Amino acid sequence: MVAAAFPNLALTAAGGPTLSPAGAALLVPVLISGLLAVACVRPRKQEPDVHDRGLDRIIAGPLLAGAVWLALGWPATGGLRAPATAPEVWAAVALFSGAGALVWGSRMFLRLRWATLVLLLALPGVPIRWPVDAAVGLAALAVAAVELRWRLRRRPARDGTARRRAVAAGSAGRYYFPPNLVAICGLGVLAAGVATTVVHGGVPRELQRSHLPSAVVAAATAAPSPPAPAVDAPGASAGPSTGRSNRAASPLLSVVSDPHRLTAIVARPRETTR
Amino acid sequence: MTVVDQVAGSDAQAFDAIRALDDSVNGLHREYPEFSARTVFVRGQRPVIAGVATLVVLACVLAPIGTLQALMTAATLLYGAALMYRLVLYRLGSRAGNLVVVSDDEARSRIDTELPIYTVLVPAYREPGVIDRLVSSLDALDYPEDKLDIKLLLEADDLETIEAARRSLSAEPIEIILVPEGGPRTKPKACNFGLHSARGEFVTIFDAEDRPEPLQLRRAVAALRRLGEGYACVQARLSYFNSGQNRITRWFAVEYGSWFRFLLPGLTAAQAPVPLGGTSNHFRTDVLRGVGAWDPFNVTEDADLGIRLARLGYRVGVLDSVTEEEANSDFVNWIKQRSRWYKGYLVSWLVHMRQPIRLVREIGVRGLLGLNLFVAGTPLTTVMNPVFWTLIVVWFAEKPNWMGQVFVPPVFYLAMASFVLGNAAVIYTGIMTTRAMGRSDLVGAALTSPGYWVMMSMAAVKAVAQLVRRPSFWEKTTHGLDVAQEVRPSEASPAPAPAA
Repeated sequence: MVAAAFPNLALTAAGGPTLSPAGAALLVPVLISGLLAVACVRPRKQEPDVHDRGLDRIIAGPLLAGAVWLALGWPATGGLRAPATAPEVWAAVALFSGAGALVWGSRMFLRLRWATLVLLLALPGVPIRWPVDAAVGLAALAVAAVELRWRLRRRPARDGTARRRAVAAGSAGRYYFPPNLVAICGLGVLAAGVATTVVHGGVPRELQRSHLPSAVVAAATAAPSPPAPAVDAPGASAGPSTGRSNRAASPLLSVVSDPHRLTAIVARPRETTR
Repeated sequence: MTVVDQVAGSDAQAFDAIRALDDSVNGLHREYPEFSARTVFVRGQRPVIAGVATLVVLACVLAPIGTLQALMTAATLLYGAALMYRLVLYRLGSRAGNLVVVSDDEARSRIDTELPIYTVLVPAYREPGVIDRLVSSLDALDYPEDKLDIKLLLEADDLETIEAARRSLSAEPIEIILVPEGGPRTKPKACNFGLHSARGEFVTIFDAEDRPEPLQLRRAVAALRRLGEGYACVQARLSYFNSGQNRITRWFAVEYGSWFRFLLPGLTAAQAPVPLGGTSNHFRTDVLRGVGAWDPFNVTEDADLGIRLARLGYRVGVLDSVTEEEANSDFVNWIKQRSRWYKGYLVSWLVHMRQPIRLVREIGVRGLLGLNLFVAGTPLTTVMNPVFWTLIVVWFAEKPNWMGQVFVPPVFYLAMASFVLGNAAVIYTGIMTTRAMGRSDLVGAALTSPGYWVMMSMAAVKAVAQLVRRPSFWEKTTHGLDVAQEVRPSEASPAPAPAA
């Protein structure tokens, strides 16, 4: 529905990393948002089964009205190929949130509040590069961590030793993160801590849970590794073939873990234009 | 423990139960129809409200700018007046002497045989999880057991809670009264039914999860005897035992701190009606029966009763004794509870404004100011907030010409003063409250209270919408949400002292 309402925004995001910094800047918060959504979508243990349809409408009404106001007040110009604008992003987020509150209820809206707020950072054409890169690192790192967990969960029990897990983590880290991204991984670990603190209020157990896989992946990345991908050669193959098969098994990474795209993001020239 | 199900008893008991039920539902309406919320919008109010609404719509069509100017002027004046009144209440409430203080020695000075029988009503509905807490809370009360008349009021069809109560309270001197079906299923109806068989000279209400201060009943007896017959009730202060659970409970704790430390004492000093809290209000039983007890059709029967007491010439004091309650920690649950409070305030306002001239004769101009600016002003300004927030956003985004015309200079400056100074003042009073509470950990909550205002506005919108469609519908608040939550030791309240 959101894609249909804001087609050029959807096209910018879909063509994202390989096309322009604008696309990358749009995609990164979407990835982080997706990660937060995965983390928060399930009800917490003590969450009461209390719902209120009236409240759903009260939340949805202003958001949908705001989306219409933004869409009518600042209509997209320049057709489908034009870069998306900030009001479009805000309108899309408002539409998504409002419709979500109506369809899934205010409780789900609340659970996904941080995931939704992060989407507001998806401002196209951010002129500074390093925060974008750091965010890319964070998103990729976090997605890799989710992927890693997803894969380890599906391993037979006899393979679940600490050593094998470390080996798996190492190979996944080397695959997803070329060595020249170590610094970005560090930033990613830091950002993961900030995000966890925001979401869980600095609970030590949650911090530990979020940092442990991140740190493992970062350490594995920093270790001597197989040949690094050619960061200056977009389109070059990267990582072992086993990684490819693992990646193919996870729908979550079908877009973002493509090494071609990731390399293109990292290697793109310092552009500050939209 | 005894279980009283009069309907299932002998014919005489069943007849008595039916009579008690009828009294609980219709008693106030029979005795004081003008105070009953059975019909919220009475004959005179409907045409007035409809007429005003029609006039406004017509004026908007014929002269939109002029009408909007008038509406903005009225709204701005209401904001300014409500804000000033609130600040005056803070000033009055912060003065010493507005709380009724009974020292520990004075509370304990009466020997047990001199103490009167005290009725404690504990209404509960679908709360099997919090029944266990009732035992520890009531055990902690420092009052002779043979002088306590504790009644747990359960709805007859609430089998789950009844079963939990039978299990947990088998060894306790607590009477479980099954409230028969019929009439509105509200807390005040259950309380009226319990009051029918109350034996005490004084009566109070506690919720099942409440933790009253152990000496509270003794203090209430001493206070009511000292204050004299003119005082029908003393309201103990309410606080929260789980205030550190999350952001919502911290905001809630700051708000309750303001309410019971400054605003209610300020209202008593201003000689305005005091909207009572839902629990821990201690009444003289004969007076309570005489004024018609609780209105079963009003969803804030406590606030309504406080206003009614003032109209009938009684005074209310604020007792310096704390009952710890469970702060609502869940957003949706909080909105439901708060919307009920706001709806009830508006219902109470509509009920008591039916005859304004008589009202002024009964409670004076000060009382009228308090009723309009505090009881009605709170939900009305809260429901208007989103409109003004939207206007601010639109102004900064587009700067439309029509807004410049709507806000003529005097109104603009007053609105700006309300916006800037008012918001700053409200945040400041929140910080002042945290200082008075000795809770520096709540300063962050006071500073971020604008987030709480957004929640309040959502609740107010829901309240207004529901006022039109279902004025007597009771939005049930789910309790026991703090159970099994991790409470940091520094935030945990000390356990009540054992009974002396």
